[in-house]
Amino acid sequence: MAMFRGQYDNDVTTWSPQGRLHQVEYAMEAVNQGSAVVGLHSATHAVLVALKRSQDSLSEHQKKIYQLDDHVGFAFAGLTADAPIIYHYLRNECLDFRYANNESMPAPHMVRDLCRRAQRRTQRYGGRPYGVGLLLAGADHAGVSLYQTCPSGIEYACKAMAIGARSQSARTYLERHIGELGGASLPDLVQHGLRALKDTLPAEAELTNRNVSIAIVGVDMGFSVYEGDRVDSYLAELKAETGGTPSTETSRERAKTPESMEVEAS
Amino acid sequence: MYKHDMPAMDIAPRSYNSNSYTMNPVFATNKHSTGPITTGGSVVAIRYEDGVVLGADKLISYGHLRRFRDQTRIFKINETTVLAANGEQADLRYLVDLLNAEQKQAELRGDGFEKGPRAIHSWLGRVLYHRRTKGEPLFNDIVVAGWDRKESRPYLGHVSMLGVAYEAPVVCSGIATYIGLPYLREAYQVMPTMNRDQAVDSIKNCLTQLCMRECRSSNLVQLAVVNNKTVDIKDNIVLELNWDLAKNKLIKN
Repeated sequence: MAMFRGQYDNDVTTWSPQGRLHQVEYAMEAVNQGSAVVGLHSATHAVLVALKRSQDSLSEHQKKIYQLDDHVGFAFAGLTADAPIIYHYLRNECLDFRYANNESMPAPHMVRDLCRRAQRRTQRYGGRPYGVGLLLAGADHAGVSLYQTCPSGIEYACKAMAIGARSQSARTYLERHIGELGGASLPDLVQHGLRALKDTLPAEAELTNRNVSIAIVGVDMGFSVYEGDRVDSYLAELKAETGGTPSTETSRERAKTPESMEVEAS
Repeated sequence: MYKHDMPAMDIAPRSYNSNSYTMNPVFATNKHSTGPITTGGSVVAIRYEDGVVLGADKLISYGHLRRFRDQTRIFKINETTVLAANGEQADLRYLVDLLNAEQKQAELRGDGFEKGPRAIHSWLGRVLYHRRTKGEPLFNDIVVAGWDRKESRPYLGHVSMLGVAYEAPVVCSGIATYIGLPYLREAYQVMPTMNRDQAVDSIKNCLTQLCMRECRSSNLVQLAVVNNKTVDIKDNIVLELNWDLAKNKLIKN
């Protein structure tokens, strides 16, 4: 099967004899190159936790979580440059909906719109699919929701999910604890997210207030992003459970992380 | 030229704007509307403690002609929203078609989200304002009544043909704005927490008084009652009109 790939993977509109679109699969592989993001929700709150990468010691860590409106936002993994494109599109959709309907746009509508757009790009010659997967968290009067989107255009409604580099470890953690999430308190929910994210770290790396972003949205709580000092208390609680003290990132750690070599994906 | 541009000259009502050549629908080289043709009369609505009552007659006039005397003017969009309007009924039905299509899409999506009264009220305001800005308005003052599920309360709003949208406990369209609104406002001020039956009575009384004063009206009416569960449209209510005043008899109120 692998030996046929080269003949059928030049553009997205070519099927392989096995019935696959290799370009779409390659795009999904790009998502796996980005650093991990974890999403999970209880009955009342949804949490996104993201691991940010920095190119080198001179650069800031790359933004991973985008807020779309008072009630919704997403974290992405994959080709960094594609994320703001999707952000601008969804942001405009949210604003247009609010203008016309005097109400917040339901997350399912947004996700469906985006996935239609993504699918179109898998069926058009001369272009390429999006290179990002999203975890979109939203709240409305009925509750909270979490969606995963994919360059293929598939949308998944999730109770919990992780995407990006080494995210399988995070998914394993979430599967093990899925029963506890529905009734979890907000602090517990965030801790579950951080522990899942921690499992995706490469050797000798640590979660610090420079490489972690947390976003929370709830039925009674607007979408809020926590970075820098504002994640300290959550990280402290994480360290307290597992032992050790919270630290800010050292140059030793930065030199070790292989992702710092990768420019494109975050 | 489109079909609707060319009513027969002898039966078409005159343009409300002028008798000029360009404004006459037959010769107008633009496709913009000049005035309402097949018109509905007043609409009245009042909010009560647990819902909204909306009333309108079943007459559609063609100028002075009482042309269609058994027509629905109240439209239920979904279980939480109902609307009615005065003015050009073709325009209203066009808007209702669009809203019904959107409602069907929402049902097919099946994700539990559909446009409630707030969204419909806002959307209508934007559409009407856009049309007025283009110079081809939709000739309707629309009353939107419903139950706001997000905030668990009754919703009653009005949109004028120029796109001015507002919410109020008592709302009317047409001649009722002058005759019915003060009447209903007084009823509301005396008892803001009235119950359903009191609201229905005040709407019926209001429609009766209106019917006796407004020329293009009828005593065959419909009522819509909205509460937190559903929209209930009561059809074919015949109002009792007391014409004793015409016989110089004293009426006791």
